[in-house]
Amino acid sequence: MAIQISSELLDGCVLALLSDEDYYGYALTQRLQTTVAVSESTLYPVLRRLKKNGWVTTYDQAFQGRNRRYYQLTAAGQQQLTVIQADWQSYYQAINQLLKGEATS
Amino acid sequence: MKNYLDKFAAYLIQLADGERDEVIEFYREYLLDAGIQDYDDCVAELGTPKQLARKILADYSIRFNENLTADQGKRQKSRAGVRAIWWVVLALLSTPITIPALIVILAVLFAMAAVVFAIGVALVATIAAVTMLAFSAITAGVGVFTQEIWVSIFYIGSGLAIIGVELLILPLVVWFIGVMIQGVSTVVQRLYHRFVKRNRAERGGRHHEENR
Repeated sequence: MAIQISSELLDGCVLALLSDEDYYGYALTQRLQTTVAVSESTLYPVLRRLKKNGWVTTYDQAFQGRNRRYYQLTAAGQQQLTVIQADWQSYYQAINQLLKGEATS
Repeated sequence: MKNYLDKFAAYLIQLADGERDEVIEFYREYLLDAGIQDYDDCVAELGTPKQLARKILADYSIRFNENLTADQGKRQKSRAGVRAIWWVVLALLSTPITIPALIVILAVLFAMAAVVFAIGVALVATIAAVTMLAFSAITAGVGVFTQEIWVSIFYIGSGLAIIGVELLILPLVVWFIGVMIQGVSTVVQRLYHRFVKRNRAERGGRHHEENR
């Protein structure tokens, strides 16, 4: 995809995925990459920021003799997700109008 | 993989222990889940340990700086600004970018360095000159004290007045230097966002297509 995703939108995408189920780092990267062009190394800073803002929490689960760290959406994260969804809706509509040339008056 | 993570850890020495462990644990888990063992495969997936570390560190410094803007003192802000500039420059240099972009970046950095240097020299020279003028006025005043008492008092008085004005202006100069550092820091961060972020994403995108 030629269009570059902004960090707010990427936050929103991660929060949205986590609202369905809990993910661990690798699975989350893989899932995101089916839709958005993000590099393999990008996700850690994003998750760290989300955690620092209290939008996600983490818990560890044993897997084949090691730990997997799962990321889980918090109530604050759910709220943030609705904010981003609303922002995206208005942005999407405005851009769509502009691109279709309907904004000329 | 251990070799890769060890090298990566060595570059993260500036981070607090807890933070560093968390970053390394994240990428260890990532590589295990991806089933990547060889050093070269790690590099293909995440970039060299150096590139990865600089990306992480640049992200830290920038975020750190943004937070400071909100609630911290000026002095700390400039210091964080200087550190952000440093890490972002390193991150830029470790990234493969196109030659025209590199030329633009270097030109901007060079121009900023030149301007800052020129302003710095001008400030120091002005302050030195004014101080010298003040002191020579005082010296001259003391020198003629026995012969021309009024002339002497005039000289000493104007010398002291100049020093007084200088002390008044000094905080303004310090403030100005702080603003300048902040400005340069902001520009460098924009450069970072403009070139490094986009570049990584493009690489990610291409990589993704190869996977199909």
